[in-house]
Amino acid sequence: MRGVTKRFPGVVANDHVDFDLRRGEIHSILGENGAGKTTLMNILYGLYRLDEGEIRVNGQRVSIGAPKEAIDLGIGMIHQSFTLVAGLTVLDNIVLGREPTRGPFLDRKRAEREIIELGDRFKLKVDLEARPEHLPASGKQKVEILKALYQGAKILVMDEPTSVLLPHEKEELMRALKEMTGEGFISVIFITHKLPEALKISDRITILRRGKVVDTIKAGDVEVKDLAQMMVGRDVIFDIERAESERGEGLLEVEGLEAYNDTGVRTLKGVSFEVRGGEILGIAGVSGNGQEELVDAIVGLRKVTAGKVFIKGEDATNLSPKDLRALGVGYIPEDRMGRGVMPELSIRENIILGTHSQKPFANRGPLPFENMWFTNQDKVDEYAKRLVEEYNIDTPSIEKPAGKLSGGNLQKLILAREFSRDPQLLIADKPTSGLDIGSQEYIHRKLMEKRAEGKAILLISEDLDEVLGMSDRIAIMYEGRVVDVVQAERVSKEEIGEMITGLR
Amino acid sequence: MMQQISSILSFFPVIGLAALGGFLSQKSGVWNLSLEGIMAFGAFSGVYAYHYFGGSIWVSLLFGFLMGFVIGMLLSALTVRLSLDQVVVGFGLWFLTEGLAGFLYTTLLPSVKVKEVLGFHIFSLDPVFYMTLLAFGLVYVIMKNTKQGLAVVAVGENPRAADVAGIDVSKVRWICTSLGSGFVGLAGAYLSLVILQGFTYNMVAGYGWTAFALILFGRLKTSGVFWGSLFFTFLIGAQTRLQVAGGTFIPPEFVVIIPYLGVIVALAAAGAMGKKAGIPSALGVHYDRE
Repeated sequence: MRGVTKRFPGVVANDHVDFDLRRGEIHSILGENGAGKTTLMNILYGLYRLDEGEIRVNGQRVSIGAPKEAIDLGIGMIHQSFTLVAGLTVLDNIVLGREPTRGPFLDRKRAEREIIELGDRFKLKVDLEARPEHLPASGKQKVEILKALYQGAKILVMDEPTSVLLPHEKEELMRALKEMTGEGFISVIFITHKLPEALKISDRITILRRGKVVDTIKAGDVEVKDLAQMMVGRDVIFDIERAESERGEGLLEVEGLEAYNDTGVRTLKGVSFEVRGGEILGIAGVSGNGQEELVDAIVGLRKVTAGKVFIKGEDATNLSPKDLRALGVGYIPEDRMGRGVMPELSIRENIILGTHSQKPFANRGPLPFENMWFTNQDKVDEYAKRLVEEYNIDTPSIEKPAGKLSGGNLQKLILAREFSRDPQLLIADKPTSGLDIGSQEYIHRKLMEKRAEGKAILLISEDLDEVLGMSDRIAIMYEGRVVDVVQAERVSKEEIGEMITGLR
Repeated sequence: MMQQISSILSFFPVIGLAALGGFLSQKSGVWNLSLEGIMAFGAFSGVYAYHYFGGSIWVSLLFGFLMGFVIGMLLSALTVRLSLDQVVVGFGLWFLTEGLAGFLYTTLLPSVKVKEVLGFHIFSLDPVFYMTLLAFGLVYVIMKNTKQGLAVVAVGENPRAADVAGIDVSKVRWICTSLGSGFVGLAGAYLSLVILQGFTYNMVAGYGWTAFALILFGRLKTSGVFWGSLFFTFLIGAQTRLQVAGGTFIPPEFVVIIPYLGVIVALAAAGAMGKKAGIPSALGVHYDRE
């Protein structure tokens, strides 16, 4: 790819990017969120049209206007959010678009044979009769890889493939990729913002920053620190700084908490713990071990079927979210788009959600009613502008829909809203998942500030480095129960890893 | 007895073809909320063709199908191509086509009485009845066992996935919507030409909306839509017979609502059974690549 340029309204996503891939190599594209990695690959895959520049495949200049043309050129892409069709079997998903037929009908027998052959060759085992929606993320990824291979991909683009995987699954994926490229069977473009991964797996690394190529280097010639510097444009502090903080009173206490999941199964089976002021309690566990139900139960979005929740010593079991917020609970949800904001509404509207009906944002106007009716637009504008500045939210205007913000900026918006209400207790559910290093660092620092102020923080995370670095104590969740609560400084990452998978 | 069943079943193509047509469109992710109007227009078109194009009932049915197809193309042009809201367009086309049918009927058509009987009958049922059964069978097989069927399901469920697998989302959607609307037009033409032997104002009388409800009742599965259509056909049969046999002790007003009551009960039952399995996730959602 030579001089590839792509403009979106207001931004240049790719600015004269040069990129080349050699046969049989793994070439990482490293960059923060919004650096233009995915845009570049979407151009290669025919999802976006390039404004300038050219693409050559095997020396031939090509114009790729649709994914079908990319597939025909031997380019396969595995998107960050999987593109599998729920309701179709794994087999149907793999052959979709390239179905073997006999007469007018699908030849599923032949498809099965061919897929099993491919799977055996690269040790990718999947249940062909399963439905993708029932598979774990690692299983879906295997299906996607098989799909790309089945479509005849010689160049495999993988967009942040490890973000959904557990540590041992990452190892497995890297092994499989090494094997495939080692035989010269395919070449891989590996998009990531995780430095150690890029170093470990790649032959070469291209670093993108703000749509421009910073450099392309051999993976052996560089260290993590240099890479980080190139990627972010400044030095990055890796260790989370933690000051001593005073332990205050117990702000959140749960006792024998039980709840059911959406399909009516009791997945939270009697959880008890306490979080005190000035303390971060980490909840470590593999997704689906009851954390989601626990969070929902505490913030009032799921019915508590047994047990009690106490906030500041008061019984707050099964209160409405509104009442809980009034008690001083702040919530940073995992699903930012779905729960954190209303994506269609503007930043200024989102930033006053929850306080929009209170002074000074609302007033009674001339009406003789108790309730606030009218929004004071000037006050809201002023307030929104102040918070956007204070929290470094990168946006051209406060009128921009929240849904159009990048992950990091969206999280800052949510943080701004929740923090400005001065909550005593913060529930932070995977607050940095999917964010780039810069934003992660920012969120961590902000949470630490709150801890120093004497607030209680419940931190749910799958990222063991984060849990270990941030927490004072760590509660290990496994199959709906807290199996242990440990002091963070007395435990190693490996030990936690074994605990959350039920090995200890 | 046999005669009774046949005469009840003779109404099946009206409901079955309309439901199947809407089903095709919905399965590919496009709401077709104009079933009622397209049926009315198909009904008018059929009688119009019968009067002006030489009085062949087959040609007239085909003309009804074609007019439905054209409206379907318009529907997909507005929603798929121009990305207008499917609900707004659907309601708009419903009013437009139903109104147009009534208007053209009063201005262009004299009172027409269809005299011809359709083809030869087996068990007192005409060829269109058997063609409807065949159409259901074909759609069932296509959805399950062909690449075209896979493409339709993929486009309705996850257009992004279909797109990255090299399937032309817009093309699949417009074909399904147009072809489906063709079936709906045919259902209307059959209603006017064969069942009522002429066009009257407001003759579709909610059958289009009933078909719409049946698609949801059938959970957007070919078999579900088939059984739902059959069930409703029997309810209509029961209604007309009760009107005759009910005499004085069942108020006629009550008898008239039986089929619709049946649909409401069936829909509620379907809802109570729980999950919305089968309804395409991307139904009603416009797909854009960038």
